[in-house]
Amino acid sequence: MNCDEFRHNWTDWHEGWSARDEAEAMAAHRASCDACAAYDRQMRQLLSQLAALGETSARSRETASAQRPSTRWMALAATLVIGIVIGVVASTQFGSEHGHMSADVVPFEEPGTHRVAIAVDSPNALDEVEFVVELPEGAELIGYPGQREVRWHSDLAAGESRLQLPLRIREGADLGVLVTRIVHHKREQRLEVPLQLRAGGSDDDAA
Amino acid sequence: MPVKSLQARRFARILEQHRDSLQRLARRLTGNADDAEDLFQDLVERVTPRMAEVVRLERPQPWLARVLYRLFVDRWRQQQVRPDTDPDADVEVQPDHRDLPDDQFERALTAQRLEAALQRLSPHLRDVVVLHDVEGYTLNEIRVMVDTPIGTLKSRLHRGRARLRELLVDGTFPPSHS
Repeated sequence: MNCDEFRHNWTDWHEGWSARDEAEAMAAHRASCDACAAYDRQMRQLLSQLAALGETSARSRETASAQRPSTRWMALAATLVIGIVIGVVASTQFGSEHGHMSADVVPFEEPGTHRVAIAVDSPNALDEVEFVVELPEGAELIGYPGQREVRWHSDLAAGESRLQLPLRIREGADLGVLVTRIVHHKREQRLEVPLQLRAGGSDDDAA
Repeated sequence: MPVKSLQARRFARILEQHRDSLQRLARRLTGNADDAEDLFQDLVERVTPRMAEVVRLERPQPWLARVLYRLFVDRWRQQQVRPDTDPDADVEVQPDHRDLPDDQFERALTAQRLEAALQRLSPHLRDVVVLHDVEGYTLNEIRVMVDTPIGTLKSRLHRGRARLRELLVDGTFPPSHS
């Protein structure tokens, strides 16, 4: 694969429309080409900023008491944000003890790109928090094709932050439970979010 | 309580529930607040006689958005001076090799410049980018809304995104050739 092909096929790859071998070729090219890796990062930034345009007015309607995530957290989230907001599906409080919570089932009307947002409430600012996302069969985190587990480190601001997970749901996927673990100094909060792809009708008969 | 009154109240509640997102979409499509308000009022006039249908919908928002979009295309876009050439005549998008370091690109990517770049896109490309990437509609919802095949929408989405990046990288916003 060359740079022209990478850039020409970027949207198909990013949205999960590529065949598996093409997706692998794209990932390999990104890993070997600094210019296309930068192109990839910048296109993701562009999509994050476009999504933010749509969220700006929605955020302005939220209660004034809603706390803004830290800049660093926002930067992290911005690398992940695309697709459709389906809302905050669950929240977890990062306290002094281990915790284990389950959320209600998140239903997806159709396969494709969706976003799940998880609210994390921390009484204190924390450095070097490890985030672990474990994905069920049929779902993948966009930007990490084929990976069942994704880990990264970031700081966590005091108050409420939102972890936004852009997911690609495969057609016909059975799905299962999405697990998010937040680990800091051997303390761990674990949140389980059952995902479900349901066959739903559409209201297509518009005027 | 008369059935008609109950239905009217449910209809009003649905409109109120989706007012913000529909007005935001109208604002994105028309590009200014005054036209957006007029377009939204057109929508209300169009769907009020169909309130019995609206209140039965499981998901009224995409349906209302589709009506809004079609009103926009039928009544509003025709009034625009700017012509929209065949949007799919140049299906092959030319790969963009104008690169910027990440920090320069980040500086170029302000909300204000992005809004300006969106306005430079040809209407058909802008519609798909706005509906998909800004407002978060799925391609299936957009397919129904704009009555265009999925493959064409995918192509327009890619071309719209690539063109946006070009505009941001260029910084000078040259005349659109999308």
